[in-house]
Amino acid sequence: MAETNSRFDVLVVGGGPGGYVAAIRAAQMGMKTALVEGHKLGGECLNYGCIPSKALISAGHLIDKIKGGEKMGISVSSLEVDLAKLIDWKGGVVKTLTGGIGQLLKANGVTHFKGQGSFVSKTKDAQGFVVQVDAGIDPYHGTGVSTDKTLIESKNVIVATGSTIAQIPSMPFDGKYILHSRDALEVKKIPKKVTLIGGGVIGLEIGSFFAKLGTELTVVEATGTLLPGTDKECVDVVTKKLAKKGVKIHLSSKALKFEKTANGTILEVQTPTEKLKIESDWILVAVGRRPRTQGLNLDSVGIKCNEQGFIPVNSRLETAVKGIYAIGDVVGNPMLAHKASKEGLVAVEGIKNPAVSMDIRALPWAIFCDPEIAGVGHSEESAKAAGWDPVVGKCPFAANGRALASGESDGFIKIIADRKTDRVLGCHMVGPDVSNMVAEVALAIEMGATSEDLARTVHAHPTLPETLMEAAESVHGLAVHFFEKKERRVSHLHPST
Amino acid sequence: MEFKLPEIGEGVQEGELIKWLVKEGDLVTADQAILEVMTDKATVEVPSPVAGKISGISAKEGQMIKVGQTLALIEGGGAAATEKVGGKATSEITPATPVPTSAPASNTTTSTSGNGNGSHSVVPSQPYTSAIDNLSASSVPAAPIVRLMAQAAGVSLTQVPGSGPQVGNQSRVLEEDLIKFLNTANSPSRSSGVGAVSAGAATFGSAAATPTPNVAKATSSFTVPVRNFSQSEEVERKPLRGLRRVISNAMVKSKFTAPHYSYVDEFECSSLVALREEAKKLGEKMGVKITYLPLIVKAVVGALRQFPIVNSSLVDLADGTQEVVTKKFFHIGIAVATPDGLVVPVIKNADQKSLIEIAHEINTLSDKVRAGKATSEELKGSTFSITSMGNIGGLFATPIINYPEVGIMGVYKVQEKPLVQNGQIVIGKTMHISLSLDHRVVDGAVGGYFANAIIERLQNPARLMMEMI
Repeated sequence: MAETNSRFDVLVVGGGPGGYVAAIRAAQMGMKTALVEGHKLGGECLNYGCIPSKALISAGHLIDKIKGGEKMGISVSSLEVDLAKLIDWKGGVVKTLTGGIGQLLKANGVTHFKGQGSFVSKTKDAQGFVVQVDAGIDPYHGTGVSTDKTLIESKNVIVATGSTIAQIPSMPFDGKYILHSRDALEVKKIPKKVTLIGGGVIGLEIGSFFAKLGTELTVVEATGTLLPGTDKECVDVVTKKLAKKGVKIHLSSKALKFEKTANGTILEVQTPTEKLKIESDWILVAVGRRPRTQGLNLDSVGIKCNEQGFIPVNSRLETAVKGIYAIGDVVGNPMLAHKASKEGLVAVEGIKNPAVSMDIRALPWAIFCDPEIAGVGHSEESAKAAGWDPVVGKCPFAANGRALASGESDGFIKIIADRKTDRVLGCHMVGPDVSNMVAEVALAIEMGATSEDLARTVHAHPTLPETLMEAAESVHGLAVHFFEKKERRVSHLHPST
Repeated sequence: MEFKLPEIGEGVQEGELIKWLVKEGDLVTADQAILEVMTDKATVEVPSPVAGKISGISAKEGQMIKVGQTLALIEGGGAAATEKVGGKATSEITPATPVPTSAPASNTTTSTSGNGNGSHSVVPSQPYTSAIDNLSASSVPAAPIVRLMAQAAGVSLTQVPGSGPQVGNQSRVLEEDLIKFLNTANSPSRSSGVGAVSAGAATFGSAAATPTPNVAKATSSFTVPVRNFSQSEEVERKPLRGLRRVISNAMVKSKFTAPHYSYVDEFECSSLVALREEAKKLGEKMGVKITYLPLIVKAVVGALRQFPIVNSSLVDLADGTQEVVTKKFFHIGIAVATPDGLVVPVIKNADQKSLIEIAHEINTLSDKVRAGKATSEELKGSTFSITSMGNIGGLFATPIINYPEVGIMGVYKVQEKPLVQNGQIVIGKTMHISLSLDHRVVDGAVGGYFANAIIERLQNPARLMMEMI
């Protein structure tokens, strides 16, 4: 057993978007920093989540564009998709990014230990913690044999171990009949039929991709809507487009049991009205994720997870044990890479200065379905609950020149502002490239800007964000590029309107 | 109910909150004056619309407030108090309990994870739910970096007066506001504890550049890098507020907009003195004190009729051009010194009023102004102004034009002087007058002729009488 001879200031366990960001920032701030990651750097996000799925989704979008080119006089005689080659290309994108992280860690002077990290005890002087790294064990799969153990001492430890894919007990993943999202992103042959269990973000993003490849997709969702928890008006746009593409959607439906056949699978589904048998090549199960804490040996330092398996932390991301922090998926929902990164930064800053705690006013998010949905801040309901008096301004992309010229005019932007103060409270959008537009509203909310501030900011023409400006004008009933019968409300220039 | 600033004068959109006449917890009756607001010129008392108890005062003295802006709550104030809106406002305006603004306030998401840890002493013990939309109705508008600085200093932004643009009824808290607050709010409210800051403003100067401000050990206390003045260098600092601020702005505007020149003359005034003595006696019988001013007003009106250009304004138009607007009415401003500063009440349509009427009006307006009771209507609209220094002394002054007028006249004390008349030295009575004129509109020669026209009337009461109403 090897032992490192000097103590680290910060040891980060987990090299995903929470962990590697925390490690780099800690090193930038002059702290002696190490990172333990026994699988691949970049975590779920870069290796199996956000990045590879977006690579495939962009390919799906390209297919749609090509097929839609006929209206513009562009036709392709035979469109062929070599999925194996596409998957290879996607692998290259992932490799470029994850390789970059290794270089960044090195350049910033972060020591990278490879293996499974687990707590051993407090240090003898009780001023830090001893963490053991088992080289040879892959913490992602929990497989492998311990070949070499290293004991590391660190004053502070940040747990950033993320989450794992949840499975339905009666339908264990087997990589052939029952696939999870990671498997689905490695499929080399275009399936004829796929059944998706779970109409949430991950399932719908990947499912939509296959639908664009020509796969017959059936979605089985237990609740009454796709993308539960997302603005209903936005979801409606996506649901409509899926239905138009021929995707079968069963809401309030339950997967009962499945059987393997010579050609694939048959899934028995209970819909509100009938029992169905759905045939497909394979079944994609995307019913959520759960926090990953196994192998960490949290008991040895006295950390207990809550009933859902999350590690409880305070607003500085510090656990019940002083000096041990936790960030990202492992501390709670929503499981978003940028939330993990932000928490990583706050945890590190909090180590340096105990007065600093999490202080953000809105967390933007984006769903890469078709069209995209993105949002930040309050909905009307949550704004009311928080004591505001919300007013909504809305502008459809059909009123936007750029959207029309790009042949993608489905959707709208909806801004929620306070009636009295006009402060921007939130924004929900569905439409072309909206994931790239949510940042402007996030800044507006953080700065305490008003919807009139947004409306009075010149937006370049012809661009999609003009729709945002118009939605902000619509808050006051002053939209110019579409007509709405709406009360014109007081603005600074129009006090009498 | 929410107490909002009502209409306080025609066309008046905002004013400066001079003084609260009540404090939180006070009981007020309907129509009881509860605050003083100063608009462009006049200070008005604003009454309570209902009876009730004052709470949640949300505007500060010295702050600019807008018509319609909520200033306080009046509890039990009529039916409105029970409305839902009123109830909501309470939570919005009442300064939050001293919880740092950073605290994840009422959470809006459904996540229940990450709760239930409050065992740290170092740490604000609010439970953390990682779904974080913390935009509550009490959140102070401030940029992320300002909020970080406040956190680091252990200060709640709800305590920090903002000077930035208004967002609703709150003012944005800027970086400089926080630094000012930290440097002035010395020890009382911020004794030590979490995130005490060791180096004041200097520390924060670098905060924006580095991810974490250089905040010292939690034990060191906040010290302010203030110079030690010796006794002989003691100063008193007062914010520029109220009438002083209005005067300051008006003078700067005038002096930097209108190129002034001065024209001074002296004239023999024994006839004027005799006339005034006569008038004074008559006035006493009628119960009106008559000074030289009403006579001077009349002389000026006559001269303005003769030289209408001096009764004009140079106006900027929206298209960037300018025009000279010559007024066919004669509203004469009279400068009056008050303990708070200079105020200029206006004798409207002085050309249509008799001497006794003008004298009476000058007296009553001056009294009102000195008592701070003049209405904004009585303080606006003058077309030419007169300032009298006769009771103070001096030879003459060069007054500043009451912009956008183009001329002002100073009048000074009557003196006995040796004069040369027909080769003989005689004792005469003389008075100086001085004119400040806007050379953009009124040339020097015109100014000189205008002065002559005034003197002609003052020197020769018969001439003055020719034009009397």
